[in-house]
Amino acid sequence: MSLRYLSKRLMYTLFVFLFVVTFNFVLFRLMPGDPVAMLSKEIVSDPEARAAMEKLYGLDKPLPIQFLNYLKSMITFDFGQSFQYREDVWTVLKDKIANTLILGAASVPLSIIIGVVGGIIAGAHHGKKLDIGITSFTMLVYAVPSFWLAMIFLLIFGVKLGWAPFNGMLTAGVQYNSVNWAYLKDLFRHLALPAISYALACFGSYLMIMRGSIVDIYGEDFVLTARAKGLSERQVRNRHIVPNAMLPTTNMIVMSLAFIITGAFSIEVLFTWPGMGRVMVDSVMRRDYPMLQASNYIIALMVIIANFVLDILYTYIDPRVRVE
Amino acid sequence: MSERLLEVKDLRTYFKITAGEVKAVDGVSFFLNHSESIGLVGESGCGKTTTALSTIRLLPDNGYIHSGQILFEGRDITNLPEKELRDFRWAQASMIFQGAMNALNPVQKVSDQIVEAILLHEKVTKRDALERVKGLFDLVGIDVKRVNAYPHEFSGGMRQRAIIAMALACNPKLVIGDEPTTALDVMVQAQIIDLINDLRHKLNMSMLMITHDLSIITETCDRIAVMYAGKIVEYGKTDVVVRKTLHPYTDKLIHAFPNIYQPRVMVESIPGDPPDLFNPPAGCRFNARCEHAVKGLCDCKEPPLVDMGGEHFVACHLRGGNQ
Repeated sequence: MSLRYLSKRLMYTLFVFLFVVTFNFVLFRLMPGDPVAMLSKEIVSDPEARAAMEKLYGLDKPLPIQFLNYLKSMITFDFGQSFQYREDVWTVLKDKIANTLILGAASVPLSIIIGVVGGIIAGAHHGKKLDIGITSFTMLVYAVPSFWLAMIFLLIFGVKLGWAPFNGMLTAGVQYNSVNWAYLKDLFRHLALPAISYALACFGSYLMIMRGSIVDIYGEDFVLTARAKGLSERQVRNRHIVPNAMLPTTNMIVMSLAFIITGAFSIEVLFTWPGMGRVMVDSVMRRDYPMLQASNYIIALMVIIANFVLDILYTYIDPRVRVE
Repeated sequence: MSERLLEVKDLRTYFKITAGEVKAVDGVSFFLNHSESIGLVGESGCGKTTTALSTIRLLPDNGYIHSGQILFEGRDITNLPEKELRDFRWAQASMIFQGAMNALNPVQKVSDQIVEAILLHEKVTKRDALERVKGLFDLVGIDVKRVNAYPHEFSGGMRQRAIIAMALACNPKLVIGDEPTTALDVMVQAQIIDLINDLRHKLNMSMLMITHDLSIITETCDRIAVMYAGKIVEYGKTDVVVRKTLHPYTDKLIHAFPNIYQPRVMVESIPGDPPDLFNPPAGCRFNARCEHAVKGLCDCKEPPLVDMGGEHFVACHLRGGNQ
């Protein structure tokens, strides 16, 4: 990979970031209404109090200065106070993000493995019973709304069979002083049901993409070449088909990784997982604008970063991207 | 060791489709001696590619060899077990695919794809295999410095050269060329033909060339087999077949080419379409399109392939001499 390519992608990423941030700024300035009026009716009528308010929020400064201040706070993750928590937004959000990442780390790799391996198996048996079986099952699970699937899981394995807890991240009331074995055990037990439901909700799209690419590539000429060379079916599949089929699948996986951070709203809500998805749902309910704005900003940031990572990753898996 | 490298006897290759069976190759026989080359020529869908793919048993899933023998140095390929078949492919008989198509894996280095074939069939180190690839690049006229290139970094002509290099990697006794110059521009086409001819003499290799382009066969092949609707209709030494054409179809095929030495006239086309191989016509398969066809003979009785002397065979009631 050339330094030129890297710097080009970096410039592009920076440009997209600035665009998104600026858009976010302009959007709120264009909205009708007076921000000070939102705070209190009395203040608006009193010019002195109003001026003090505007000074407090920096609204007395000209727009370019406001923009620079805004930019600075975005970069330093200073999102102000949450309306519902009465606390610094980032302080609240970073814990929630960590919780969501724990759930994501437990479920997303699982769904990627099921999706990719299942897709390879189904694609290699294209049109046969095994393929029809895998594909039908996947379509069924994929078509079912994830919240319904999660509810069924919760009901069967959580309530009826009682195999695993389905409430929160840790057993309520138990205090852990450090990350020790007991803590991890408790965490993993709580993780089981939401992680598996989440994985089931996600793997379908990976599997269908992987299967589709595998089937397409089986018809390519270089597969015939590989067979003519005397490679076994297994070698043809592992050396020639899968590396090519991974290209569209990797694209999809990396892009979906960006959205891990938002969590699966429905699953976090159902299993009362204290993650970012649940915070966002709560914030919408309670009109917690600073929290929502920060969440949106972080999602945008993740998507931009994922795109950048994908650009770099692609140069390793697809040689055609290396020449610009 | 027998003189015959390849002998195909009454080969029938069929394809299963939902409606039944398509007889893509229906009783084809020909032979090829060591260091000779033979060209299979015919329209699209006449069974020439199927014949070639049958010889290394590389048929699509729904295709199978119904009957007949393919003797490679006396060994019948049609009933070779899977493992031996894989060892046979490329080491004994390799293929030159159409380079313009996607015959090379786009995400692998060209050299790695050739090394893969060498390592599969021979016990050599990767370093030695790579050295051989460099030698092959040199042989086919690709700059050895390009050894680390990917397929997309090559031009169409270079890709075709690389594919030829790949076909030669394990020193096979037979090289099958499946339309190796199709979809290349005329200049590159000429270069590739020169290269193939050159290599044929240098390496003393036997070749089975499949093409719809008669001119390529006349330039590269000792023998020619004209196929029509799954059968060989005329077969013999190239210059004999071209100069003393017997079968009306071969005649039409030759006249479908413009002659640059003669006054400019519209080239002739062959009226009608090739027959449906799912339900082939009775009698001579060419009878519906043949201007010499005799009612009551050509549309009833199938003409056998008869030897007209000097290893020149023809399957025609009128020209075959046994009316």
